[in-house]
Amino acid sequence: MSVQIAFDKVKGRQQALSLSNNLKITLALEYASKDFKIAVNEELEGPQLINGDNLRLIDTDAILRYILNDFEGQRSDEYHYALSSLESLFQKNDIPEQHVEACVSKSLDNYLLSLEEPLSATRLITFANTYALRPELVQKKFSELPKKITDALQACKKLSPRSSEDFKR
Amino acid sequence: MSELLEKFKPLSVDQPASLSREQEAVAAQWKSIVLKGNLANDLDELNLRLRDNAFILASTQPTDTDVEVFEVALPLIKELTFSTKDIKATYGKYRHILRWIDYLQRLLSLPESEQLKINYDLELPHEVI
Repeated sequence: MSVQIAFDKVKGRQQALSLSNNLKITLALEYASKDFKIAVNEELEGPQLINGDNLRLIDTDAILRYILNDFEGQRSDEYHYALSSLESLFQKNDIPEQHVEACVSKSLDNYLLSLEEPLSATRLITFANTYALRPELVQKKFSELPKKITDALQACKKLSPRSSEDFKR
Repeated sequence: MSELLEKFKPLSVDQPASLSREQEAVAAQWKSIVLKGNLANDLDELNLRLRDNAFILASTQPTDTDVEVFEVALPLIKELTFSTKDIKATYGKYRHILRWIDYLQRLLSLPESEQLKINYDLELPHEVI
């Protein structure tokens, strides 16, 4: 199967949203089976997957699920939490720090319990959303990450614009 | 399960026996958008999907996905049509969502008071695709 995929290059978005979107796409590329031919479309701005005239996806959770062919767990508590409590924060401004940290801690304590392979699409989505909000807390819990996740994070770093903090360093 | 989904289940609407990988992905996309509370930002995309397909999963009959998205789309479109100063433009912009809402609210026998009142006499400009 041959598809085109585009990263999130939309300017002015919340950094956590761009990071989460691009991380899900790099994870999809890492975990895609070899028979899946994926070409990166550099011209499109928003995150997208296009499969001919049949399919266009703009949601990176669905893109990851489609490439992994894993649609399980969409009614699980973990998935509901990952979307309605974590991912919904990406769209909002001025959320108190303590609230974000409490949501991330809840994810780490209750859902992101293990990153042992094989990883489901649901778990990768929980990981990407939690990591995008507080990478340092995820790294603190998981001193060693699976190689595919490490590679996806590396690829993602090359895409994401550097923050002012990076320049200071 | 939502109240509307409970209402939908016993209706004699033929559900596809199984979904293709593409249909599963589209269903996952709209479930994700609804769960994130992001549908208001993606109404244009929903309208586009319904321009090209009678129902969200490109099925011949509505599915659970249609009902789940409808439940969130209905109040959003109601709000848009109530608050707009240019009703023709709003109808024109979301004409495919309106057609889909019109069908589903009848199918689900929503009480009149909860339905979106659609003005069928409004003359809309031709759609430029």
